[in-house]
Amino acid sequence: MQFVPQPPHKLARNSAVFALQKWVLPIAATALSIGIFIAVPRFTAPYVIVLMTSILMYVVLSVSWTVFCAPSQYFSLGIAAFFGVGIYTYAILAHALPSAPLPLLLIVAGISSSILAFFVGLTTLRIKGMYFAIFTFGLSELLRHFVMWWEVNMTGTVGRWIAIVEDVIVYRYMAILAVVTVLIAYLLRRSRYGLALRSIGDGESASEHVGVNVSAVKIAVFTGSCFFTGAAGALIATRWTYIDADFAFDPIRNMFTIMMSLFGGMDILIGPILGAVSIGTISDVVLTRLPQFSRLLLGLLLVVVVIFIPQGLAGVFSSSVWRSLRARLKKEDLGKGFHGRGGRE
Amino acid sequence: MLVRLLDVLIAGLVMGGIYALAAMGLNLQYGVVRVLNMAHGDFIMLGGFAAFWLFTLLGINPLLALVVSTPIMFAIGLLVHRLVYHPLRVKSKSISAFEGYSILASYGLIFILQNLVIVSWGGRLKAYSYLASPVNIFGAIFAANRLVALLLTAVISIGFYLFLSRTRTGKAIRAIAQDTEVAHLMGINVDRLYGLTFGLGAVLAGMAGVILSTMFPVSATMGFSYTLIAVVVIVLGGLGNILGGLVGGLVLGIVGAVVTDLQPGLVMVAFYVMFLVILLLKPTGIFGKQGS
Amino acid sequence: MADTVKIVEGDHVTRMFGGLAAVSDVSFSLFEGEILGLIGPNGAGKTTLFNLISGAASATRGAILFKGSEITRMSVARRCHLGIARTFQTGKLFPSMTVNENVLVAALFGKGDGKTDAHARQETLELLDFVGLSDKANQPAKGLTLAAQRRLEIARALATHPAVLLLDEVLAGLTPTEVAQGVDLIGRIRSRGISILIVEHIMKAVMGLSDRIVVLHHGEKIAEGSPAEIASSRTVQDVYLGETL
Repeated sequence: MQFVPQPPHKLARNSAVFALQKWVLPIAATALSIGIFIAVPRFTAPYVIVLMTSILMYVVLSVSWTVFCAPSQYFSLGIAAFFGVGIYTYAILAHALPSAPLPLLLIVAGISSSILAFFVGLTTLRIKGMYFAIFTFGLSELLRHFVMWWEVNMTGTVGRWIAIVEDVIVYRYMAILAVVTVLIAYLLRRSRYGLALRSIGDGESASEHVGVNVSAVKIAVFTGSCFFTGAAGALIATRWTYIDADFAFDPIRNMFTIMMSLFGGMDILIGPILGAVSIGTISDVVLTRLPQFSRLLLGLLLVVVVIFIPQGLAGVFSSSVWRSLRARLKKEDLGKGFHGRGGRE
Repeated sequence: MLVRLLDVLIAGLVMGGIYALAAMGLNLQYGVVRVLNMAHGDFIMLGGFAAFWLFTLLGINPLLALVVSTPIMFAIGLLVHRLVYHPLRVKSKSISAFEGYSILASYGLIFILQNLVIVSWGGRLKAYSYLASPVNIFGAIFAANRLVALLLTAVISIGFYLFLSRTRTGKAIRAIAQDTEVAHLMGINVDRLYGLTFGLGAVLAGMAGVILSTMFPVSATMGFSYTLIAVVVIVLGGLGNILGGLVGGLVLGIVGAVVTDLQPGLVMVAFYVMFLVILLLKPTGIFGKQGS
Repeated sequence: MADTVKIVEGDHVTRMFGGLAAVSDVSFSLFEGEILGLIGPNGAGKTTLFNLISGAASATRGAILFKGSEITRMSVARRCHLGIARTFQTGKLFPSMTVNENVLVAALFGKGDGKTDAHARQETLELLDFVGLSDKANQPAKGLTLAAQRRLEIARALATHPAVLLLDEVLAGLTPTEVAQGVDLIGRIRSRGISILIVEHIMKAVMGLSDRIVVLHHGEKIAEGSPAEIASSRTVQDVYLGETL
């Protein structure tokens, strides 16, 4: 196949537009969003800040889960494990290095989650099939047992004490983390590796056959995504004075994350964000009004969503309303489209 | 020393038998229906609770409970399949999509079942005593119920294996596991057998639960660990491979007994290490996946 | 075609499946620039042989060679980078992606050489044009007609710059007009210097396209030769039981 290069001036203009669309706009949007989030506390009550911090944390969880699991169709059932590793890393480091700056601790916590993710990926993502799902299934429980055993037998202490960080500060960092997570997810989706990941989910065998190093792509994206999960765990840990293995590795977070992502919609970036915001606010209500039925209701919701609306809210919305809206906005393209469809085949 | 060894060995066989039975249902379901029901351990839990209530309220002994629980568990299995997995199968565009989504749905099922039990019967441990009198075997002392358990699991496992290999229904089930298309062509009512097989898997889980309840207390949250064990067993033996599951169960039982003897808090870690090792060395399991 | 360079070779290749041999002691050569037809009744082992060449299945015994070097244990992706591409009998397009994206991912990763995005996009457009799918570029791969799906699979395979293209029943289920268009396309692919191994049941097409033919039955090679030789071979006729060649 002959590659005919385009004339230089056209290439240059195209790449300028391309770069603008690809890098500049997203980063500008990110900076703007962060700015807005950081300014919010001036105008709202303290409890709203606390609620928003939780919701932003859910956004990080669901986006970081979705960014790998949705396109690849490899469902991780153990996000709580990576979240918990973040919590514990922070607790240990903050205690050992009390004067270390918060951002550094968050980054190290994120990295430690990534390291676990790397080993999990190395073991299970090089094999096709359900192995990844079932290995991650018990991972949070495994870590819970192991950390408890370690604390009882090795360190003699159970749980850890953490110095509290101010609510507003936690909120601001969580906002930054959430926005950055969304940015990375967005950039990945639009990059060649995002495309490769989608091809893996659509047909791993065919993906290999067109030259994609499926194992490397899977492991890389999974490892990267868990960085944000771990950092979120580390950050939210600052809210509590005391954490232990039961809290850090609570398996309810697995279900929560999966449900938020599915409910919101896995196929579009806005989906998990939508899911995090809606479920985040609903769960607050459910947990306070009907605590004894909370798991039942959430589990039921998950099952119902999986069976009846697997494309999630965003998926339902995008298919019907969006399509007609987009069609109306792109009136010129409609003509071309019809020509093509009528066509030769 | 010898007594300790015997202790561990028999404990290993007893638990191994339980693990093998616990895994058998899951193996059957995955091999035929292609569902990895993560709530399998909760079916085991339900069996355990059934035995507990039958014993505590009606004085029905666990051996009888095995029989009584069978139709109950079968009905539950059938219901779950019809409500959850059947609709998913119909809507899924491919087998791998179905496998993926059904595992997600099953995760939700765990919390539904656990919460239902907690709301109905509380979250505390429930236990009853059955054949707890000690038996002496060459110096190693065991409660009689342990040995009864071993006998029961052996009988049920072998019995079910024979069902699969000798009876018409069993062979039809195996045919679906081998090649669904061909099974259809042979006139086998595949859809009906999906439900039947799933129900049978639930029955086996329930039986494991009943037997477990004679030796250990039951609780609403015990399911998770048993699902995990069942999962490791079937990966060890080869997904869908019934014989492999039996061997895998025994292996895990013995490993579990050894680790319990040395460092009880690390049993789950030991199982996960085995999980890791088999995934690194031979992911298709000792006996290999069926059909590959 | 006096080329004697063997692009792909199978050396006594065997692939066991449980107790049965899906492919049994098959040796063959694909010469550079030729079109080799692979025929045989259903279940003869043709797709298995393709799997062995592309790396989707591993040989129990024997070796697969590419340009003289052994690739028997090489991964699928690496074989693709070397220059082996294929289509699938069951049609494995990427359903959630557009026509353009299906080819683009192959253009980006097919050679493992870190091509730029712009370069890959350009190649994709050219390939879609080559197979006649330019007007459908932004349609989802899901809704395509059968013939369009086949073209897309071919375009995707070609995007990896193959030296060898394995076509697995790419004309099956098409109307006579579409078959003719397909045959034309295959001819144009050969003109680009790509060697082709084609599995097909449409005898007229295979006989017309192929320089040589290999016949498989129950996993074994039972005949090999020019289309004329195969058409008149008693052995082959017996196997096909009366089907007009």
